[in-house]
Amino acid sequence: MARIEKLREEWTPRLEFTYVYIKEAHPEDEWQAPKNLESDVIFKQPTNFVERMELAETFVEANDIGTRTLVDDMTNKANACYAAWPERIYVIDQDGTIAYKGGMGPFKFKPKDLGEFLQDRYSHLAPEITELQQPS
Amino acid sequence: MKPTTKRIAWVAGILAVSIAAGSWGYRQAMFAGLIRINEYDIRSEGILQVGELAPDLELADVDGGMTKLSQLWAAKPLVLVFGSYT
Repeated sequence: MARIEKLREEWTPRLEFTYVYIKEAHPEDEWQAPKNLESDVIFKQPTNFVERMELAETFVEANDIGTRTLVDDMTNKANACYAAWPERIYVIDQDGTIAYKGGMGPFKFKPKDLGEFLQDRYSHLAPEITELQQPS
Repeated sequence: MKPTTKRIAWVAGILAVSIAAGSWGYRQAMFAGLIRINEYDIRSEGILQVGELAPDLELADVDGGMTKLSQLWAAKPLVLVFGSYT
């Protein structure tokens, strides 16, 4: 997520970046991943929404995420609609159409491709002038 | 090189190429989600395509309240990143 955060910092406020926390990919009670054991990221799959929300909050803190994070419900409707699991990126234009659909994670989750797409499509958007930058 | 030795070399070469091709094919199919690694592998390419309307969902915000995705993309283009902690 660090690479996404870097892109977010680069493109804010021209674009809106939002995370959607979904069903865990490698919880210890399902499909444990060696890299998670090494980095001590060991959690069970949440079984109710309170647990899912708590783990989402932990995810936000641990990854130092500085923008809005939404949480999929226990029916996994966001995952079902967007075929999101385990991770995926979309870009949606202001008319609601899908402008970019990233590959299926983890092998095709490529923030670099997203960066190139954003550059091609949105580089014409001028960064908004912040209050600090405005002449007095 | 004796005929027998030559035949063994050919068989070994064909075997090596077959194994390499099979391994490459398996990895490509796994990366594409065509092969399930285990019962928890629920990867799916999905049906959404670029140019189609994105599904509008209302989801809980970690900071409280509910947010509709359409409220976000109406304001400016929306980069939506799906993922989990593990």
